[in-house]
Amino acid sequence: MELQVDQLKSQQVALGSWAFLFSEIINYNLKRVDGIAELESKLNWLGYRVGQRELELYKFRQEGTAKNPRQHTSLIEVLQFIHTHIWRSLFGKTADSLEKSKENANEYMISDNTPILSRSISIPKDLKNLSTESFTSGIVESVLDGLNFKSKVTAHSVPTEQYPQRTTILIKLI
Amino acid sequence: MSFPIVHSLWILNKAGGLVYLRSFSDQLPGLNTNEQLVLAGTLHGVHAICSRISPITTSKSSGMQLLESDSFDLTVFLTRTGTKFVLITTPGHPASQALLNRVYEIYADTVMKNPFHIPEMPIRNEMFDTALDGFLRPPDFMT
Repeated sequence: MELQVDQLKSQQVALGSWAFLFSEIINYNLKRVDGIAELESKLNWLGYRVGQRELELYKFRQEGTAKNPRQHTSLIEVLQFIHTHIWRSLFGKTADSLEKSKENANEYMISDNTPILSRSISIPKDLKNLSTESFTSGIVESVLDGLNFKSKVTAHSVPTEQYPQRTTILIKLI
Repeated sequence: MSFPIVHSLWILNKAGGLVYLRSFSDQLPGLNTNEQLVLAGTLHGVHAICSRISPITTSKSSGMQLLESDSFDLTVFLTRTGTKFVLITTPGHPASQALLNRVYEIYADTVMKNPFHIPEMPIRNEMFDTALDGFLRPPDFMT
C-alpha cells in the first residue's frame, strides 16, 4: 500500500485487505445461516451499521463547520446524493446509473457496473442467486433511513456481456 | 513456422494433487481425469527429487524449473506456499516464466480472495477462467 500525504488518500484502505476481510465475513456467516436469504439479510444488516456511521461522518467532514449545512428534502435529491457523494466517498467513483422503475412508482434503482466491494468474488453455481452486494444495499438503506426515507433495499446481480459483475441496488420505498 | 502457443496450464497443490487443469489448444492427447491426476503426482515427485539431488547445499534448491522435449516445453513455477503452476508450451516459448508470474498474480486476485474457494481444493471459478482466457488462449489467426 502506498502511503500518501494527501488527506483524502490517507483515508483509503487497500482493496486486498478488504477482500480478505469480506471473504471471512461471508465464510463466517455462511456457516451460521439456513439459506441465501438469511445470509443476504445478515450482510444487509452489517452494511446498515456501516451506512449509519458513513452518513454521520460524511456530513461532519463535509459540512461540519458550515454555517448553513445542506438539507436534503426531496427524494430525488437524496437519491442523487447517494448515487454521487456517498458512492464517491466509499468507493472512489460514482454509481453508473440511477433510474426510476417503470413498473412500480415507489421503486428506484442504482446500478454499478463494477461494484468494488465484491470485485474478487465469484459466486458458485449452487448459490447463484446470492448477491454479496447486499452489504452495499444495507448501506443505502441506512443512509435513506437517516435522511428520513423509510425503505427496503435489496441487491440483484444483472450480469451483462461487458460487465459480468454488474449489480443493481433496488430501493423500495415504504 | 509455428507460433509460440500455450497448450495447457496445470495447478498443483502442495500435496501434489491436481487442483486445476485447463487446455488452450486442441493439439493435446486426450487424457482422462485419472491419468491427469497420476501425471500431476509424478511431476510432483520428480520436482521433489530435483530439489533433493541439488549439489549446492548452501542454499535450498527450488527444484525443477524447466523440462524440455522436442515437441513441448514444460515450465514450473513454485510459489512460497508450495503451490506449483505448470505451463505446457511449444518448444522455446520466449515468455513462459513471465506468463506464469502473471497467472500467479491473477490466481492471488481471483481465487485466493474468493470466499467460496477452499484452499488446496479444486478450483472452480468463472472469473479466473475468463481472466486466463484473456491472455493464454492463442488468437484465432495463430491456430
